Amino acid sequence: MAEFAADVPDEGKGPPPATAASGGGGREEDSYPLTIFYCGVCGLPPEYCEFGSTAEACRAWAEANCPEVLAVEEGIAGLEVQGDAGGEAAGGAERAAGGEEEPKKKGKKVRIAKPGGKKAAGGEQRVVIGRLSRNRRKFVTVVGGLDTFPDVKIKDAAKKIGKQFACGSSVSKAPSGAEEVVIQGDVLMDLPGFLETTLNIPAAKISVLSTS
Amino acid sequence: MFKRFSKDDVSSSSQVKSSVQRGFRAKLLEQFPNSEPYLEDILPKKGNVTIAKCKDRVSLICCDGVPLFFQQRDGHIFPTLRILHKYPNMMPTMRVDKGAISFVMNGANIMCQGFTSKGGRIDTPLEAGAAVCILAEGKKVALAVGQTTMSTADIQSVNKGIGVDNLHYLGDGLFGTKELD
Ligand SMILES: [Zn+2]
Repeated sequence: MAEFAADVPDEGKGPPPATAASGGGGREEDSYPLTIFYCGVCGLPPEYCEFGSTAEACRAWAEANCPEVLAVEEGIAGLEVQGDAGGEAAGGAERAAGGEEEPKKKGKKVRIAKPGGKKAAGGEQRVVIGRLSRNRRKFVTVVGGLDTFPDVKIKDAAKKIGKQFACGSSVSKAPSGAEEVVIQGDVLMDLPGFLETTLNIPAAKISVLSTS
Repeated sequence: MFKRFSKDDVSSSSQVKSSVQRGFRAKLLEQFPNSEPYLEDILPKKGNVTIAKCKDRVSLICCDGVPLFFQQRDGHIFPTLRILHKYPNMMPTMRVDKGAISFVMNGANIMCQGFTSKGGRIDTPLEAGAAVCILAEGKKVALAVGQTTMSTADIQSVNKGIGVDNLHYLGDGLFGTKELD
């Protein structure tokens, strides 16, 4: 799902129309439709990335793919803070930045490449657990990154998980070539504990993707 | 309404007869008079218009598989955020303060204080039950689509409780569904 610049053709990769960028919501412009950018990581409009769950990754994406947008946005944010909104806006920004992720920090390593992605950044040991829906209310849980732990046998792990949760569990190859465990059922909440106790994977190295 | 919506929640999808389409266009013009110059762009006459039925009697009006509008039962028609981002002036707007953004993006309905505090703003007087586009302090594009539960005058004077029902917001399932099959 991490397509670039969701709805716009490639040549539209420049900054959004000047009038739209100059505040006031772009209402004065006559030629509709406006071209809107959506973040390549979370799919939100870039100015709302800080409220998503992948703010860090978003920032890295924006730096790599459309720095103009980032610059425009920063300019606006800067103006807003000095301008009408005053201290309140600054407070809000700080609060947002104080969360577990720090959207304003540049050059940080991207942990999660895609929302549905399973692979951690090169060399790092990290297990990523995600949940995908399968027709309506059925789920599969996908565990990626187990192969970054040398003393985990991925096939054995799949078997143990299947036994523990009484459901189908198999090893499959992700498009990127990495191996991942696919579990038929929603065990997202219980899995980290199990990985910790049975496979001795430290909790700190397990990340759970909450969305989709 | 669409918090956990996905393609799989569409129970049936059917072609729309041209007479029904005409009726729908008329209704759109009535509810969004500002959209008149762009209506042909938004909903082209030669497009393949379908209605996708979802749970709770919600229907999505799609053109070539792209959801454009939604409607619950026979109620008001609302544009999806992706449409609203392209044609921002088709609906009246209200603005919430910065602090409310994260709540709105979690699906919370919007309290009156969100509009009456310093960062909030009510742009046009509206009746209860009106469709409104929710903007956010310091942001350019729309944050959510909602329906007022009381008139804007009441929102300002009562200033308590929920003022706007949050129907569709950035990051919800409908926003994530760019296209149906
Ligand atoms: Zn993003």
